[in-house]
Amino acid sequence: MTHIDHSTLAAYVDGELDPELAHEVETHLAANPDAQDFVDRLHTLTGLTKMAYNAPMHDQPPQHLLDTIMKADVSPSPGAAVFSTDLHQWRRLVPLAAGVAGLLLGTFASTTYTDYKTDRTIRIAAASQALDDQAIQRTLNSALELKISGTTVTWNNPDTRISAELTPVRTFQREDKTYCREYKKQINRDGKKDVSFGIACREAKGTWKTQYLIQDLRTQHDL
Amino acid sequence: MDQRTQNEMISILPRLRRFALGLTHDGSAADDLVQSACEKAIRNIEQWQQGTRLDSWMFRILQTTHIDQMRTQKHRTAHIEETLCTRADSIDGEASAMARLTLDHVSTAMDRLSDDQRAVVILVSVEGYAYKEAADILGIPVGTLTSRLMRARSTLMQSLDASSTGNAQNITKAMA
Repeated sequence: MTHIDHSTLAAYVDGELDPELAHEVETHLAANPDAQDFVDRLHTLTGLTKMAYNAPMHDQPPQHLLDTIMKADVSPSPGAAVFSTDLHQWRRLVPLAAGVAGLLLGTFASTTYTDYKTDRTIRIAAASQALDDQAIQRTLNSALELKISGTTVTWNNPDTRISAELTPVRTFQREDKTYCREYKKQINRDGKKDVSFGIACREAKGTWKTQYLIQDLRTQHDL
Repeated sequence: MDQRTQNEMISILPRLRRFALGLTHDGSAADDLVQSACEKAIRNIEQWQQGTRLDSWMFRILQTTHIDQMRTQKHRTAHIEETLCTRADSIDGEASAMARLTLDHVSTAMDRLSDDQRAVVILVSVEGYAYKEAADILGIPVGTLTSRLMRARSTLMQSLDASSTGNAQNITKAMA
């Protein structure tokens, strides 16, 4: 049995361990909440660090940089198909990682076999999803507090390519004079839209708490 | 340089800019650094071995160029620009504010690390390089890399814990 210290746990999070040692670490984690907590925090930190440095991946690189590369002497690739020179090629590469993470999340969630490298990708993606969920919830709260019925508030995260449309539909008062509102929530993710209808009632300090939420299964289709 | 290599270089550009931004903290200095690194790479393209990773090779050039520049400029004035976290703000500023806050904490904490530590975190955590590849890019032994990474992460965790409004913990809970 290897001694499992913080640097081993870090190597586990970074996908550096061979399957046997990874398995040992997983056994250790199951019995040690502190170690599990450390690993969770590292996953979160990794996810957040990735997101904090995402801006250059969305910006168009400055023209002078593109020119520097474009002006270099180019000879045709021997025996290789020549790609069309598309300055915006990088744009298509960017969302790939998020897409792959999303795919893995869906595919592996129900299986008991854990490839720990896959698990690592999922956990890093989960940090991002948790941030999205929080942001959508806050947008909803703000829409319910500030917007008149029929006004749609939109939210989007270009990094994860998830967007939300939140529309208060109707306002009414409960018997105890509490204000409640029906709303429509549409989440656009991976080219699909999920529509749900909810009723939220206002609590102290402008917090709206959802009482009922009904998912409209008919609307789960491709955009 | 052939067409394919040229296309690949363009596709690596956003990542080079991200690494450069991590090394310099400064948007315009970062682009100057990327410019110098690209020029150097194009001049020496024969030294790149076909079949090996072009991105690692260019990252290494960027890193050595940065060290050269640091040596020539004894004192670098750090202009910390608002280049990080320029994520598209939604219509509702308040809603994204909390998410932004967490990311801002991370950016601020990253800025406080030493240049060496930040480079390691970016290569491993942001770029996802294996320890060996990251160590090769930086020209340091793997042991040095892992100990820098460890120190950097414990500093980051401490500063996040200190500045956290509970958001990061909530995320950890949500993930558990």
